[in-house]
Amino acid sequence: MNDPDLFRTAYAELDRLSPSAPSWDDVTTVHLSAAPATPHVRRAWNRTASRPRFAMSALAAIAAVGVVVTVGVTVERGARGTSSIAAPASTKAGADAPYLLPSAVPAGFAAVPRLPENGPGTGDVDSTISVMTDGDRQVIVLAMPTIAAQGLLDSFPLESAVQVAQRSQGDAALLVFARGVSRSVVQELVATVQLSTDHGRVTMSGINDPLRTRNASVTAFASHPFEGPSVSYASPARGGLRLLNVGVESGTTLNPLYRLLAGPDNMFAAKARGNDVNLKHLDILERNGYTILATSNGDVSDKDFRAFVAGLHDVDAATWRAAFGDLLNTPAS
Amino acid sequence: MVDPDAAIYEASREALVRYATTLVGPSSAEDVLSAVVLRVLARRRLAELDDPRAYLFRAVLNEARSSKRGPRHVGLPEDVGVHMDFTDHAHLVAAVLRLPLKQRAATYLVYWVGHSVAEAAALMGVRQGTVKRYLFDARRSLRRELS
Repeated sequence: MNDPDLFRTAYAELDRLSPSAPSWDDVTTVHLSAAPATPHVRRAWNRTASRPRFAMSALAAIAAVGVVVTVGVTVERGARGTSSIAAPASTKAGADAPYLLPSAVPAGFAAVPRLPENGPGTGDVDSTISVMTDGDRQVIVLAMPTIAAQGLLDSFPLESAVQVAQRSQGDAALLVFARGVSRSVVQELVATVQLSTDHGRVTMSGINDPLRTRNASVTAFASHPFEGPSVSYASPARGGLRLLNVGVESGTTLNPLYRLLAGPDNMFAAKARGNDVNLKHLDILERNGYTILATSNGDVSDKDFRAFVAGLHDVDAATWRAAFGDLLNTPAS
Repeated sequence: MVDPDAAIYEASREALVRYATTLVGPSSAEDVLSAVVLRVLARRRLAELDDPRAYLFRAVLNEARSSKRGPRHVGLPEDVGVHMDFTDHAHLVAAVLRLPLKQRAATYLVYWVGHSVAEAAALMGVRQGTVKRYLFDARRSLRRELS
């Protein structure tokens, strides 16, 4: 090979790894979004408004109250082109899973069929999801496509997830990941999330398509049209999930979560901005019976983030209710 | 009515994200591209630019350089390194990724995309002679790496 051919060969390989480009709507959704719905939230938002805000991709985090008992995250590299990521979690311990959290994944889980991958017209998150169960518990296995696993793990605060769980009195859970697309690197990252099912079966949808999920309990998703710091809401027809997110991002990032988790009663995530998988900020608020997890990946300053969180703290119960009204009143079945 | 800026972006976005992938790796490419677009939109309309496509390419390169300087950058070649097991030319790709950013940009645009030196110079915002130098240095460095 001559020199240019060497470069062409290398770039051909890199092209295979390239993610899909974010759409115009994805890029501009937050940029063009309207002001937040309530004065308090708007105030919090405005405190960070001078900063870049939005995140096409990145991370998300979840804290849950009263439901999830343990948290486990296993990350390992899967073999490209295979669909074998749903192996029993217990086999992931040891040297091949250096990021396995201690006591994270119990033995005895059996694999169940994978949920569907990205289907036609199902959006832009091209991920795979698998479910394992031992009858009482289920393990969610996410294969996040375009995350560079090592880079992610270098900066990904797995310990923060543990911290979240601890601060939530051992109840809660976890975490996440990030960006969509590109099948070529699907299964680079496999995250195994262990959730208890004390509040009904932990269920999840195909990550890409809540409307076509195989699980009836997570079929009734809705995006609430609050804008500004995005507020999204997912309410299963049954199963007890009430997931709220207030964040400064396009929605793309967190949407998989809405489609993923069921069981936690009340969740509220505020996300200041994400541009890489690095949780610089994380704060947990307790408000009105809800656990509110505020996160930022570090692209806002400490000062701005604290201002944002302070703004959230300022939001009293009545305001929350005014903002989210019927959503918060939706009974968990 | 289609936003002219949207049309401009849509016409180039796949090329831009591949370019960004070359510069910062697959895990950061989308972020770089998103940041570029929003940065541009914060100042002006794409449709107002003489050559918006070239502008976007230059912006991607600049954003890539900025992100590499940032403390939170998930840098090359490590972030691509995790994919190396899945390529047939891992050693070669790794060597290319160790090249300086601008050399990578020049070789990508000329050798892979097929732009002329003049076109690559416009997309990089440098003179043609500079692109030639980048190409020469890149070839030499790659040979040295591979040997």
